Amino acid sequence: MKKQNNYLVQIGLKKVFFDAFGQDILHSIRELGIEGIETVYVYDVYRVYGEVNFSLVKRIARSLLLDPVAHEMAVCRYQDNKLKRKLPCVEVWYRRAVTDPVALTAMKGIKDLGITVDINVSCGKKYEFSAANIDRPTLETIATKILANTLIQEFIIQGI
Amino acid sequence: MAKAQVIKLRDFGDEKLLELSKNGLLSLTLHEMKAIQKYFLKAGRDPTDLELEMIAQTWSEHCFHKTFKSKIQFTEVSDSGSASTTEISSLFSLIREATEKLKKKWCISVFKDNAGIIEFDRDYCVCFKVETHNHPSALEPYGGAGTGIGGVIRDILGAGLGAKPILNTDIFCFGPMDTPQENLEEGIFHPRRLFRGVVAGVRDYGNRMGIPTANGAILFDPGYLYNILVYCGTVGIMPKWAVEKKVRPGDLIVVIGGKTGRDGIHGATFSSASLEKDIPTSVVQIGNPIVEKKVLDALMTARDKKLYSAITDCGAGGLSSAVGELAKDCGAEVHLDLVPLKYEGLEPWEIWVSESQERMVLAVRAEKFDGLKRILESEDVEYACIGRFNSTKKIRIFHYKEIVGDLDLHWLFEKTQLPELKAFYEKRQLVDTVPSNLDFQDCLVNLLADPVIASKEVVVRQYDHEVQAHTVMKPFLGTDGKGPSDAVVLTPLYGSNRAIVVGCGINPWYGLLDPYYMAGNCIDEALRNVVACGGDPSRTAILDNFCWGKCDDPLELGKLVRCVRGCRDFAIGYSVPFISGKDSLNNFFTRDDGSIVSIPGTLLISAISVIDDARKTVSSDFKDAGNLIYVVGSTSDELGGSRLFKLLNIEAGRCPVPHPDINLSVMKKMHLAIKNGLVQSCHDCSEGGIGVAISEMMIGSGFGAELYLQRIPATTRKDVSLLFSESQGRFIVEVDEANVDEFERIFKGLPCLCAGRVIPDFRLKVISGDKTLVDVEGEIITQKWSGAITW
Repeated sequence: MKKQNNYLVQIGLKKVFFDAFGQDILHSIRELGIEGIETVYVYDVYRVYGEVNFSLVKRIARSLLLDPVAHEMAVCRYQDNKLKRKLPCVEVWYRRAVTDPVALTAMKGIKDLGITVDINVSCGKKYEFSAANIDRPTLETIATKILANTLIQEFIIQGI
Repeated sequence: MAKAQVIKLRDFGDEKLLELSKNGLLSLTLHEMKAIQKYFLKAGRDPTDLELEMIAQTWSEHCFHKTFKSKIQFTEVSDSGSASTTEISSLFSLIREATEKLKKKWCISVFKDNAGIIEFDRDYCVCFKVETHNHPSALEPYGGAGTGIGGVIRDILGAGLGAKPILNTDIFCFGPMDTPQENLEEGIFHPRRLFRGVVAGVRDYGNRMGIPTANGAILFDPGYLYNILVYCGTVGIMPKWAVEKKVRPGDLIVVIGGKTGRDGIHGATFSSASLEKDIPTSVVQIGNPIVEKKVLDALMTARDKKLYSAITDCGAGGLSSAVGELAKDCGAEVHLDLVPLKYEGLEPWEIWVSESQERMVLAVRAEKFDGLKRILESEDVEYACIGRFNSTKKIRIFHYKEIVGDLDLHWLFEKTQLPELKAFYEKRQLVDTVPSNLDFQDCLVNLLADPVIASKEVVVRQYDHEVQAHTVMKPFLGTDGKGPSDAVVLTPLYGSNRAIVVGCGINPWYGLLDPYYMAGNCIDEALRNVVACGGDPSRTAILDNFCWGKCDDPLELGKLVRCVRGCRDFAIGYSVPFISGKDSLNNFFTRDDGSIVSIPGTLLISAISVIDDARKTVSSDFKDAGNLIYVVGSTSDELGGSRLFKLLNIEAGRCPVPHPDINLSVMKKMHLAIKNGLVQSCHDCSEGGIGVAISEMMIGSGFGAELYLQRIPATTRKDVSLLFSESQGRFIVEVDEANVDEFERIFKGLPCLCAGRVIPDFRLKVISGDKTLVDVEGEIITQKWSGAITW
């Protein structure tokens, strides 16, 4: 059996662009009565795992997942988790056995690229919060009230 | 390899049978569990888990419509206090009665297929279906609403031999968006979250499918805090030869589209129960519109090449329901190990009842399978032949050669164990109530900002209205594209001006006063909407969608019975046939303290009409200063259930009572006047009354209006009723002075009077005698109406 690797791809809007989705989340947070958060950055995150290496994942990300005009991307080994440290953030992923249509389309796209090795993809969202002072219970409230439906999704709080 | 389990229920007592139903999420009553026990006692064996699941799914309220098919002892107490009891053979028979009595030749297929089908022209038919997806949307608004629209699109793909979807409609009911979070029970999403998720779900699925979403409504009421309502509709067009489907023994059973996983397991039985807190993940479905779009494209090609002889969608109940329905008059043998799976480890019963999305089931002659395969492969659609129809009248299901289900189809579908229900209704004493000393201008401005009345542009603009390039009259009209349209008009065939017009009527607040008149008012409103755009009332068909609360409560059922009777009587009165319908019952929530919160009984009537020439339609925005404003239809003191009373917190009053004899004549004449080019603009008069209707006509145009209240045709002279009453059958019409004589000649003998004039200043003046009741700038009207609902 070939070596199985596990990578994380993070795709976000270049900071020069207005992040409407992040702004919408910020608006919802303020509706909840939570103050003090200045900015919310939203990223699409993809877990790419299977018979892949770093350069193949980068190729997949560039060819399928990235709009080079509007987006910037980062790739790291999933276990290194280098992408998760800078700011307090919440990652939201589908629970196992819940249909993930974007991931299925990505896997189909990988095959269409002519890549025949066995690769799996899961999709999620990462929300980074720029705030002077934010604690874990507040992030939990934001996660459960706005970001994740815990019936079908699970969330991970990091950077705090 | 997973195997079927045998459930040893033949020795069970009542308590254990009920426990089995509850723990297995089967939602079956003791009566039904005993019928199952009796069947297997006679068969001399115990059922497998798959058989039990199939029976539960087939007999679920969602799939079998037990309440609508059962006999009902209905006791009604009149307002004088006398009680009478009648036996109703079934609610469904009441609905059918109207259609059967009216015998419209252009009704091609009613109540038997996945959608109602009417004639469009010599060669084509149009079909229309509206579904609800309430429980799933309450739990996961984005996925629930998306799969709601995805499901009803598949109904259209499965009507006859398949129609091409050309229009989506959506109607939502939410709790008030300003509800404090702390007022909600734990586990209940805030209305704003539900609102955003549902809209996004419908938007993303409809837009990605390339189908315009161009008609609908959004209501807000505290009654929907715990149970939201999500109605999704789709209209399709098909050649006439494709209306009939027939399954023949020997046909292959071919499943196409999405793979099967655990998603949506127990959806049908779950939809038949109340909303509780501890819900398993598996009942939630997530849609994939790209897969469904590929299915659509492949099917349209395969249909035109006549490569299959019958088709249905995999909706509630999954393969169990789809294959069962197709096989019920013949029989079938199915091999579950041939079903394409998303992942390994599914139990046979899970494969059988899974509600994974984007799947269709086809009956295919063996010699045509290769041709079908070529088309499916060219469109990148997954498929599998999973068995064959036969003439055994039984369904036999295998999993790796082991038999896991063997049921008699006649017993399964022609179930005779329907319960006999009791219903009770006591008519409310409705009292005339007309408030006095009101600030008319203040009331009007506040009504325009009422979320039920206010512009839904922030939602509607998220939908693609124009994809496919058929849409003639869009949801927002006028020179600045801000004014509301009463209905949507489409020309579904390129190169032809023949059109369809689609509108709807819904008002649960009338139902709180009298569900019978609510039904009449909804029918009147849906008809008015299509007529206001140029639709022909005598070529209009309607659909019913009942969403009700706890129907095993005789009081709640009594309201439903009265509403259904209203549907029958007013459909006959307006000479408009029902062609399709659906009920979603048990929309209630059990609180921690055991108390039950039911939704207000809600009826949606959707209307579809055919227009000979789309160029002879009108919009609702004023066209030119100097034109005269006519009010057509009579106004009475009917403020009960109105938005004005909601604003003033008045619960009493009489709700509008429709008069089909006069109102239908008005509608027929209105159709004639529009067809003859005598009408510059026309708007139906509904929530908020004449004041709101005229304000809305201004918004899209930039022109103002002067209205003389005492000139309005009415049975009352009270200003408050004249401006805000919601009497039915009324239109506000703009007429060029040059056409006045002919316009008035057409409406001779009917309530129709000139009551004002379009003015160049963008302001509304409402005058009664020598008093100016309202004098408000158009900018304020626009700002209030447009700014009330934010994303």
